[in-house]
Amino acid sequence: MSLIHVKSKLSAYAAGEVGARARQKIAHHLSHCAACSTAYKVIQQGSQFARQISVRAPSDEVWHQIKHNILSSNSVGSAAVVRRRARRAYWPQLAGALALLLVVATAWWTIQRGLLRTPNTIGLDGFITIIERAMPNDVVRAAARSLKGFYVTPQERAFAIAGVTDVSDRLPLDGVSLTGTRMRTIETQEVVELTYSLHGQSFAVFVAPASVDFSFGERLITPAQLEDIACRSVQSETARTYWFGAGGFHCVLVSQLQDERQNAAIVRYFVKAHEELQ
Amino acid sequence: MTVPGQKTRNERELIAACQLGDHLAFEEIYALHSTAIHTLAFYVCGDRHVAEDLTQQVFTRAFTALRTFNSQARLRTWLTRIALNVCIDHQRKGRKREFLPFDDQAVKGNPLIAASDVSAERTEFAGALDKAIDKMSRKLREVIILKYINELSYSEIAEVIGCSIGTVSSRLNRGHRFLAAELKDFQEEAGSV
Repeated sequence: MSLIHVKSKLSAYAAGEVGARARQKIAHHLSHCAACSTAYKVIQQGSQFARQISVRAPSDEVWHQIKHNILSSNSVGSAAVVRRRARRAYWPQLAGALALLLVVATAWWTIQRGLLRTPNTIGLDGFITIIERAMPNDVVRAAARSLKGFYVTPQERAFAIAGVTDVSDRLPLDGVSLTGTRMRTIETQEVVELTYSLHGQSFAVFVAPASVDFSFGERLITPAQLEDIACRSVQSETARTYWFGAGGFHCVLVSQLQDERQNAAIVRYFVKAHEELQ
Repeated sequence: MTVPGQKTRNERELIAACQLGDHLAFEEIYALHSTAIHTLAFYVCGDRHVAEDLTQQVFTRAFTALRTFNSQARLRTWLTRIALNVCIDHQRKGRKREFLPFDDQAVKGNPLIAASDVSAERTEFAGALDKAIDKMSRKLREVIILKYINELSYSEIAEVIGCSIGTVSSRLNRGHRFLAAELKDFQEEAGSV
């Protein structure tokens, strides 16, 4: 076995990843070759260091989010179980009864949730719920899942729609970064959604012309004062959601930030941008 | 995470149970493999929050993909392949790897380090080790983590990263020599485990 050949196998030899014959040859060589023996000691030291690399367990929140994801989608096993059970049932009669029940239930649920809305309405109830539950860095993906009809758009177009081209495209918050820009066209009206990240937390701002409505399901909407800004607060468990006017537009901020000053700065920025447009 | 008193099932039983929709079985799989996957994501991307996000993606994908899982492969190898793909996708979106300095929690969570050993010297060594890992090239870091954290064999590493066993061996050689050189001031630590 050549010198180069032995040296190339030293890590594998240390890890027990060589065959019995090669192991014998290498062991024999190491007992006679000072250079390779020294090289082997270096490999062993490196290996010992590598064994002490810190493991990092994820927080409990990761499992909770995974569980939420898999429960809210059709799982592999439960779909198979449902199919097997359905075959055993009196399918035609059962299907008819289920269909009728589904229609009635959907109609009742839709009416109860106030979802019979005009075409020019952006429903944000589901979006707020997902933001409340989303991991801070998962907000853009959560937005993609929940916002029907929205699609990714270039940053410049998003800013133009949001009316923030004539002011700095940086919010007055240190460390903020733009993570997503999406839009939707309703008839001729354009609505934009901007997602930002700040120190691991996310917030989203919707900007829409006044002719496009926002709906919030059954959430309570109350007058609110965000520092010196009069706006409306939308009921949510953990997110801070504010609905405010800005020139001929209105905006909704859905924020994971709990600092009122930061949320006020965001609202003030969009209000000011639209005031300067007029 | 596991139910107290419940007998641990073997891997094949867990996979079969998951394919029938047993969420508790999937929770067991998560408990067994999440730390290794999360640690891999952390060292590939360098950010704890990103690692958690990517871990979530890996296991969410895995739950769906279990229907096509080939039970001849080890579950750890399969999950690791998904994790590397998820990390590569993340980096392709232009998110550069950022190094976060070492934190005490990692030492305290390390089963190789006894609680009584969490001293200032240990912390200094762990910080130096993290920095050394960060200084490594991506290729060397990858094989080192796959070997020592994900506990894959040489052939499994070769399969996961798509290269020959000889390449794996060569990269581990270089990785070991790199660590030995970077951490030569901590040679006592090398002998303490």
